[in-house]
Amino acid sequence: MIPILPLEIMTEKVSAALKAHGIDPATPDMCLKLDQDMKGDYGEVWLVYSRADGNIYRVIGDEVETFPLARMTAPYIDNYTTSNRLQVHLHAEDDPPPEQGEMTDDEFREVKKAYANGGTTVVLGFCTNSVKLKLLAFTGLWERLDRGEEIADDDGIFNQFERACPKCGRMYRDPRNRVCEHCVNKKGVMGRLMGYFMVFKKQVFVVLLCLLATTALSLVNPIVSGSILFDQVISEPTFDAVTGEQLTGLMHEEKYVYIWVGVLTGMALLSMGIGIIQNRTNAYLSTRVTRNMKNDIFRAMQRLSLSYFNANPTGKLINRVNYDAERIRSFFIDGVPYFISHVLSYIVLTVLLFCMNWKLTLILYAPIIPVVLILKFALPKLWKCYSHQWRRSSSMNTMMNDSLSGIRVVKAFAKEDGETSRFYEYATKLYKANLRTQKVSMFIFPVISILVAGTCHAMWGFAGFEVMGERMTYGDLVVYMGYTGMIFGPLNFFTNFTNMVTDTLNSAVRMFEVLDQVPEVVEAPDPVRLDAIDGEIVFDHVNFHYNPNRPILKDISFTIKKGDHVGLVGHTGSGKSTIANLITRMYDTVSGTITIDGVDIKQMEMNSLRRNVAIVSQEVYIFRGTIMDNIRYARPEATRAEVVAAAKAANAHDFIVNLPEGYDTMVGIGTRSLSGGERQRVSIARALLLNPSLLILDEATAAMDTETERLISEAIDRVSEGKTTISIAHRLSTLKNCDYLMAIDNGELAEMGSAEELLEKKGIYYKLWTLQNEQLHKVMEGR
Amino acid sequence: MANATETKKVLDDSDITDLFEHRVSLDLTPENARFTRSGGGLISLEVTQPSGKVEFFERIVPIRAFPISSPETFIAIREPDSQMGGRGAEIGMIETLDIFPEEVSRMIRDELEHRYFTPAIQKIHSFREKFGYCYWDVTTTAGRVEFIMNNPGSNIRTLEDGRVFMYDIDGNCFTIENPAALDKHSYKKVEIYL
Repeated sequence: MIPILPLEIMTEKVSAALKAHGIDPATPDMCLKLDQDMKGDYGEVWLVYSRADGNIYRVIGDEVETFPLARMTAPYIDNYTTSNRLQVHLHAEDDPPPEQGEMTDDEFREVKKAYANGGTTVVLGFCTNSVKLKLLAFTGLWERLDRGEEIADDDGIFNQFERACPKCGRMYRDPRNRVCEHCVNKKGVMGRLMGYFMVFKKQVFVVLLCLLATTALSLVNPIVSGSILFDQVISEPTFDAVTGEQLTGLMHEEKYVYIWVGVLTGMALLSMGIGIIQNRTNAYLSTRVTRNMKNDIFRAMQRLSLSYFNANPTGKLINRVNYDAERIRSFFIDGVPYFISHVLSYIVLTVLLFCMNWKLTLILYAPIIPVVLILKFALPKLWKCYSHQWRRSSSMNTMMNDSLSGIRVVKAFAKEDGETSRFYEYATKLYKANLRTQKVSMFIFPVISILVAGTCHAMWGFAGFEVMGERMTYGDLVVYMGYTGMIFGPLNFFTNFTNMVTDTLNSAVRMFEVLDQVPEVVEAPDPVRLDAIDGEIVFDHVNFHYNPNRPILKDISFTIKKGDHVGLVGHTGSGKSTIANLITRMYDTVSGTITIDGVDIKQMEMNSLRRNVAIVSQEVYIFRGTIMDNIRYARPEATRAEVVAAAKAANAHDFIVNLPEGYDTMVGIGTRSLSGGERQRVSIARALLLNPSLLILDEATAAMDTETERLISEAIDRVSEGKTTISIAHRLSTLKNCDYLMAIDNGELAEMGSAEELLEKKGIYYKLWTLQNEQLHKVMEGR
Repeated sequence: MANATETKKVLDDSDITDLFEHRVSLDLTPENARFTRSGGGLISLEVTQPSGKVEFFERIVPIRAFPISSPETFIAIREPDSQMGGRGAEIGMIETLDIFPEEVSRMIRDELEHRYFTPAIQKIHSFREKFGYCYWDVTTTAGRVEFIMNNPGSNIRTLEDGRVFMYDIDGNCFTIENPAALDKHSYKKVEIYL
């Protein structure tokens, strides 16, 4: 039995349907479930590929349709924003595929191509974007299986499906251990967060202690001022009518006034002191915790592969480092401690007050429920208003920014009035949103105040009778009044707390997502270390796609010998730069191997590879710093002489010394900006300083004028003597010094040979060459 | 890299001329465009160029120029953008589908509906939010479906005319034609995002 590839597991129903039609369900190589029926509604359609039978079966319910592989060519996914369909060219039975016979390889290629596009286009099935990745993999595997390749279960193409949890779509922390931590262990997130704080056990302990102390002090304070100062010191002595026991005025003397006022002042000072200690410890704790978190996130990001950065815009990443860490910090510093202290004081208060006078306590607690209800239901409305207001204000800012940045255009088309009225519209919308927010908040908070004030007045009234009836003392009343604030104050905090927890968990999950990301490109456990490499590169049946796009490189095989200067040509998007990215191992191949000096680059030490291979790409980045620092970015220990030599080789020396501060000129964001050509030359110098054995120039001279380009390519020829050099260019003049050229078309290596040979072939290179000459020709003729 | 005479010689080659010829997009009308069902159930087109030249395309790709604001007008008809045939050029544009006979316009409309698969949500069975992800279970015009949405704040878009468009984590699009017409239960679940 041939094991089915792990693309999709065939259901019982499908295999039963196959069996019913006399097909052995054990023979297929792979199957795929499409989630739309042939009408385009949600449904279930299965495609089953069997190389042994030479068929693809389409299973819909009990129906099985057979499509012979030999008569189908060019499976193609016609994809649109929201739906995909798998199309194929189906040939009639009397239209067999061409055979090479006497034809040359090139002729045969053309004939095959023409055949592939012939026949009738039929649709094998439809699916939504949810199945797109699998559909892409299916067609990719189909082509490879058709070519006779043997594909194993652990082929790179399946990685993408193993990494995401089917429940929540997030990446697994460890692809081999298919447990989604986000779905399984939510307490774990909090626990890991606590870990950041537990590094500072001593400080956490101090903060908690301080909190307890302040809570205790704030609870004791009303008792001292009420029960002691008022009842025992200020009040006249009174006696219980029945027992004759003295109730108040036990310390009705002048000196006690001083003592107890002194005690109160002391308590205030103490609580201030504790506050200072607590805040200082907090500051110590929170700044360090945030730093550690941000550091961890940044380190994790640096470790990640390029594909991660392609998928996540920089702004989002910066936000993650800053905002999420900040929010987690604020939760643990401003949230958790207060939550603990508020809960504690509520418990103590309730017990205390009920013991003193339960009727009054009931009055005091009565409005809590309506207040909580109001907060619970009205606050979301207010937040909605706020977010609405925020959106309005940000769209007004965007509009303003847009209009002022484009002021030249505005003036050129005399649209000043139009812009003003547009602004007026935005401003009006903002003021309306503002007004609504005010209205809502002007409703919620007064209602709450009225409830609280009403309670106070009710208490005054009720307590008045109690005091007059001598069922309670005046001091107790003061105690009660002192506690009202403590009861109502934290209510807002409590209603907010659940949101705070969710927000923090969101941030934490996002943070751990980064920390737990497994880089796509990882160094082998026991890597091969190479101090110097010769630079012989071999591509062996390399397939590659950027997840989740269509295949970029298809079955590419070639050898570049040591010291060769090779040019790569082809249309944009044909896969030239991808080849460079694969050699430097920015990405790993989906299948096939790349070897340098006979060593598989996946087995090679990352440092050995990156130290010996330098790449200059069209997108140059100049870091903030001096030109000198920028040139020696990869080798900070390089001497001045080496830097100057590299700059000269890159033809950058002239413009650098002409700057007033020479090599010490500050460049990068916010300082002096270099022109495109200057930046390019600095980056070439950066690469040359590495003195690499293998130099890749990916459109390195595209931003320069022809004269500069000539100078640089001469310079590169000088330094690349004996080194392997790969030049990628669409301007063919760049490649005139190459030993031979490779033309890449649609991810395939279409042509390889010297410029003259390729011209004779009249293929892609010939077309490109003719197009570029034609333009030159037009210029020369003044057309 | 080559001198002028060489260039001249190459340019004389006849097969080069079509390298520089670009297709000119036509105004497609029932007079110059004949749409038919292809053998494979797709749409074929026979078009008569102003020069009188008749071209036949086994299949064509219709594209909406204004998929949201005006899906029925300005339909671009393009050559298929297949792996082998390179990028599809525009054959022409239909300004409004109404000028074509009923069966043709229905054929094109069906194809467009297929391509711009945007089920309209009719009932929301359940809606949960957890860690910034929303889990939806809805009945749509294309059947019942469950989907997951990341960051609802930026993936739900309300248009000026009240229609709502939303995108799930895979990039599938759903719409609510008129949120106010949803049943009360469904509406309540999504109210805060609209």
